[in-house]
Amino acid sequence: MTESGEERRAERVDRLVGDVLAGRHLKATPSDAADREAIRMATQLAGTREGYPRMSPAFRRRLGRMLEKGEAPARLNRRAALTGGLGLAAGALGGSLLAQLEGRLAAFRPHPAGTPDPLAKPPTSRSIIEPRPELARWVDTGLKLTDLAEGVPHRVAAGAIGAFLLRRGDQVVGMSSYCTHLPCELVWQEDRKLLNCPCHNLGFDIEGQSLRDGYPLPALPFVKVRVRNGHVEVLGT
Amino acid sequence: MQRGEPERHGERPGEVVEMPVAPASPVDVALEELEFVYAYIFARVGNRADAEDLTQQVALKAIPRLRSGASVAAIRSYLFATARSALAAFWSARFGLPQEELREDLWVRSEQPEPAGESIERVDRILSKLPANYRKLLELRFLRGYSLKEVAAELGTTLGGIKVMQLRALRAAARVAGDD
Repeated sequence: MTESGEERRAERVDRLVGDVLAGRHLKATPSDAADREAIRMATQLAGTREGYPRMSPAFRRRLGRMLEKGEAPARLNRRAALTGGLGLAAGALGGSLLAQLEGRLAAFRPHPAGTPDPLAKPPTSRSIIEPRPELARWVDTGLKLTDLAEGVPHRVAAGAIGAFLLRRGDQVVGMSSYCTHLPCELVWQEDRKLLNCPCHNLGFDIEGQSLRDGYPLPALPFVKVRVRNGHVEVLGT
Repeated sequence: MQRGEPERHGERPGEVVEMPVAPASPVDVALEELEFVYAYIFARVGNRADAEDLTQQVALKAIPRLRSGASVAAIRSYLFATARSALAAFWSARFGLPQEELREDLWVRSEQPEPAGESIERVDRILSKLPANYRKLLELRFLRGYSLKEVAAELGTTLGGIKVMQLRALRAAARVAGDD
């Protein structure tokens, strides 16, 4: 490839990248096929920048109206309507169908779990919350190691960091107290042995792993914990 | 040393706290399923506009299937199978390639949707295997939201030079991903 040829392609790929990063449609055409691997790598990288992406409230409302009415929202483009089989869909999602769906999907909700052994599963690779160095400091939680019972998470706050602490022998593991689905603070439910999200009723086990089948949420990030002279400290702000 | 807040008003550590939870409507429940489909698609197309179009397609196709009395697992499986099919059609239309060819591609071939955090971990693995200048460029541009001009300033090169370097870095990352 000549230098000017590569520059032209670099210019073109950057225009496509700029659109994607701005949230606009990818405007690639068959003339871009030679660079498809680079373009698709760009979309994959762009796809990770939101962490766990959620639908915008406006789009969610439009989709909700579509499900209620069984017809496409006004802003649905022609391609989506045609390929989506709109004709078949119209009127299909009446009240009885929704009730049926409700019944089926209820099985996805967290159910009472057994008593998991915190030591049975090794911790998986997952992110660790660390405040910016200029703000980070070890915060005394006011708890002693002996205050923590095995198998019962204790919720604490260390400045801006909310955490559940879990005792393992002489050690303490800390994990974020916020759901990785929506930023709602989780609640420990002793009877069900799980951390429950009060916003959407999703659950995490005592290890912080998602209990959702099929497409699990990210595990709860770890927070840094240390025990000094029997006092439990969390790296907070 | 600052004291933390081991307890909150009316609450002891480890105590069950009953929170008011509004009963979810059937549409809300369906929307929650589609949130996962949306996240799955967004991780592959990287922009909201296309992710919304494709999620709508999946929702429209799934509505008739919901009438069929299929099991929960079958409905979810259908949603993701439909999402994979929509993605294959999406890429096929963009690049003028047969869908069959794209179905074999890493991006749409998996039978099961991967856990949400895995795409991030995969990107981390890919970036870690790149030369330092490529890795820094891609991190600044894609993960930290720098404009290309800002990336050029950070790396001490020209705007034209950084565009070529971006293309080369993306190609190198795609090669690493192919081996991943």
